[in-house]
Amino acid sequence: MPRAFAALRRSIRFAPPALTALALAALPARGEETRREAAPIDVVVQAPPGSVRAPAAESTVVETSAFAGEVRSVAELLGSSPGVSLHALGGPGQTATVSLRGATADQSLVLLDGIPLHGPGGGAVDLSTLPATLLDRVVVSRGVLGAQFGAGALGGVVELVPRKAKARGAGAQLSVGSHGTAQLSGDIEFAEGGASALAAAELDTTQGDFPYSRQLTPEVSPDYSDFTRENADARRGSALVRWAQQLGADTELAVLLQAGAGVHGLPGPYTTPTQRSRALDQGGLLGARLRGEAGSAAWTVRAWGRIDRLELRGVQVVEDCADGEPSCPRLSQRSMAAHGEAELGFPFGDAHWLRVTAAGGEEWIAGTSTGPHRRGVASLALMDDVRLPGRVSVHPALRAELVGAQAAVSPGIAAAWRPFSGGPLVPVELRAGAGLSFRPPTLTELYLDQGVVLPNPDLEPEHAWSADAGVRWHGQVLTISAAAFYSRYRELISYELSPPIRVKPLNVARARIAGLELQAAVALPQAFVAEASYTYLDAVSLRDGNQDGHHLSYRPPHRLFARLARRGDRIEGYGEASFVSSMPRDSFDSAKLPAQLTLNAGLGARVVGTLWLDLEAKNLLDDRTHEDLFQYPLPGFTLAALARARF
Amino acid sequence: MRRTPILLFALAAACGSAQHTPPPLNTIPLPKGAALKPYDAANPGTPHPYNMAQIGGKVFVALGNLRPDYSVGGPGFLVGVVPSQGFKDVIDLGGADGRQCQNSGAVRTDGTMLYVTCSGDFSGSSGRALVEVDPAAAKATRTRTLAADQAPSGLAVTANKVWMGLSSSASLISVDRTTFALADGSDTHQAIALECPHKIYAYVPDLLTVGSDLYALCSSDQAGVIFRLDSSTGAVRDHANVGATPTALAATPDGRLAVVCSGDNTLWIATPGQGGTVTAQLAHTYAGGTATLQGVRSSARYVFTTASGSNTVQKIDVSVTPAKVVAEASMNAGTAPWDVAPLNDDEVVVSGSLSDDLTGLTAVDFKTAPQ
Repeated sequence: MPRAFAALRRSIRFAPPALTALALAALPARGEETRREAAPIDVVVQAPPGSVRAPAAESTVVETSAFAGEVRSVAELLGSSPGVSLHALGGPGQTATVSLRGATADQSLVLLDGIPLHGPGGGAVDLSTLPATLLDRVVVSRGVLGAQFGAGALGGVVELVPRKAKARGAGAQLSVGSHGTAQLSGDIEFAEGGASALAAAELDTTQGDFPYSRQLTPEVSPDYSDFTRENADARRGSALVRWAQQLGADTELAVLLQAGAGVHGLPGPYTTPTQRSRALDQGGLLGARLRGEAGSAAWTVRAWGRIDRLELRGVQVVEDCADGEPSCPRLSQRSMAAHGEAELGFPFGDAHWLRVTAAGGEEWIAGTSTGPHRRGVASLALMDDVRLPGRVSVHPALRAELVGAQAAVSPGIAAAWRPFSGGPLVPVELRAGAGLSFRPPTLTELYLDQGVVLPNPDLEPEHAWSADAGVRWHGQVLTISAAAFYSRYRELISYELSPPIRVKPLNVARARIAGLELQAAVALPQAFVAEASYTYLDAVSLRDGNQDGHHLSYRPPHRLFARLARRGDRIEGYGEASFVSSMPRDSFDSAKLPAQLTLNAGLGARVVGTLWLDLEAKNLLDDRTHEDLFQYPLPGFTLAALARARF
Repeated sequence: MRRTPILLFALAAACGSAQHTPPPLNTIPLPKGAALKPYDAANPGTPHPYNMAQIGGKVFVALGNLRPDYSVGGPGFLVGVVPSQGFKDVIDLGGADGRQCQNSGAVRTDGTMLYVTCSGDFSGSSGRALVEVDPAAAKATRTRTLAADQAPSGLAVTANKVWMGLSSSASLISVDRTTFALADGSDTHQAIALECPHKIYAYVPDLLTVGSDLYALCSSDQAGVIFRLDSSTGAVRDHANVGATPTALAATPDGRLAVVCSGDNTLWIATPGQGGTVTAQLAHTYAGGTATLQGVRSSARYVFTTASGSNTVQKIDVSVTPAKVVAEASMNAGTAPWDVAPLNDDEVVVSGSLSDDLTGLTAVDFKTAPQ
């Protein structure tokens, strides 16, 4: 019944988030920075606030300490950065993804301590599975950065930097809030002599039964009707252990262990709720890094492995089903990756700091719908940090990669220039960059077979190039940056009809994405900080046929974020506003998701010793009509109380 | 005094009319479980009601009989329903082995007989067929088995042929109504190929006969097109572009054709012209909350459309430009309304592809648009 195709294809895009997760892509590995803290190329007045691996890329650093006293998911931490699009399939505990500069979620890398994360068998990382309280900061680097980070970084890279032990001590935090939401986290750290260790854990739970509103008859009435979300509960536990030991004057061994497990309901879109669908996941990674110096050179050797498992219960292509019945088998998927890499950094002449990285590994997938598969990955990268006269630094990079049988080369270059050596304009910096890279098809795109969803082992990588330029003022109290970019994508993978009703991924789409990114932050008296960011995005399909010239779906043209916060010794608080403009919901600019304005605020005080009590309210307007991808509603007004202390 | 008999007559006619057409049941149950003759009792199909046709005071609905993973759970069925009472006829289309017709979807009538297309098992090659049904006897009378690459979608009935669109290509095949043998698309007569721009896929979701004309929709990865053809020979007379991913077409009350397009959420009106021409204009772009248009049918005055992604049914006046949605009904979440059978200007029966039942909607179920 071919007319079923439209609904079927839609349902595949829709929802079982689990199915979405299964359709994600694998990422090759990449190296960890080995550049020393005092590398000889530090030509800028102040250290660039971005990634060490991509020094001149347009970037934003989000310090988690700036959000103390607030209940923040990783996705919410990213919300202050320009160039970021966040999508969530509901409230806390439900799948949330990030995409950069209009790329898809699986075209944006997410790294934890330099180790690439991805969903089981796929690319897009579910940010809801990552504990925010275990992070020290998040670095968002934008652009085609495959040369610096490896394949898959077409929109950019999100680097999650876990906390490090800084002193002997411990801390705890408890929050309780609306809709049965609670979080308990704690850590203990030790740092003495040449050794340091940190162990941290976070427990999250939510009932997720928030009220929401939707239009029942959108053609004739703007009125909304009220409903309550069901089967959106979630529980999760996460832990992080980080240990470092100085082995000699110039050598350090560091070990990182991160693990988590969770279960959550898959409530489905509000038009087709799935009250019996559940997802269970477990995952973890273990990494060890040895680094040191030899003369003027710096070296790093690193190995890591990660394992993930996802099980779906009561999930079918369109509707839910009764778990345990013959017609409703459980779907499971396991993925593993093991990786090793070595990097050597050394000066070359007076103006160059060269880095050579060699890496290799293998990734595996095994699942109900994919069968077992494996592929090797390898890369060789050369990066240079060049200091030129006139306060100019140039950062060329070249990476050759092999992912399975697919090989590609990713070149990239970025440059920064501080035109003024003295006077009030010293903080001005001009930047420009360009890159070309690829995203290999995921193992699920290659092998996922779910009856109506076909695999395609013949898929080719997606390709993209991008160029950007910007200017930044990075002063003591004021930081302002503006950047513009233009990118082209080709051979994009899209699920297309395979007659009579099945769908199959094919390399058929093309697009151009251009945008403007503005960001400002200013330190105000009385420990206040104000910041704002704005993103303009113009994402247009270049695909032949009737989609040509139309905007890509779910890319908001305008996104504005503003925040005023105070971090005092006794009183803290914040207020923030987030505006996301109306965006296309289809590929023809004919159906739109309405604009959304969200206001959040919090206030807290240190009541005794190091004990802080905070109260936080989100979605102050109690706008229950907010929704995100695929008709998934978002929570209205929520309230949370939070207590934290350090010992 | 002279007016009294006229008024009484009018009143009696109005009341009589209401009495003779009782409203449809709000929920019209369909056969389930063992009644659908599952191939595997532990893994049965559910009704998956698709298209409908009306004849003899009954609404006949084709049941996909599909499992949750969209594999076939049993033979295709056609169920005759009296909207105010419930189902009366359960017609097994599967033949002797129960597998000649699977995944039945489209149904049309010439006023005497019913014709049903069976798309078959999507993951296999069985069950593609055209089945002729005698509604009076409630029995399948003839079955034309089709090749694996001839999975049919929409169909239209002419005096001599039953035309079918294919779901695997922009092609039409036909079955001779006298011999019930394959005519166009047979070894001796090629299928009618529609020149529908595409690079990846193209298919024919729906067909309609109006007089000596046959209209066919083509939906592809690059275009949506309505074709006007000679209903006897299949010769293309003209074509016109419509919106993206057209899914269904119907004759409007004023003799034009309404086309719903699920890809870009639009309703188009095609106008036949002199000399076999056809033109098409955008008549309405649906609201952002309306999603995945599937069906379109007409009553005496209005066009009704269904949107499976938003669980809504629209009542549209296409006599004005642009077309105006005059009323809309919301169905239960998870219904996925597919086709609509107008009983009159105010009452319809709706098939929900994810529902196990049919739904009857009356005037009170429709929310009217502000004037």
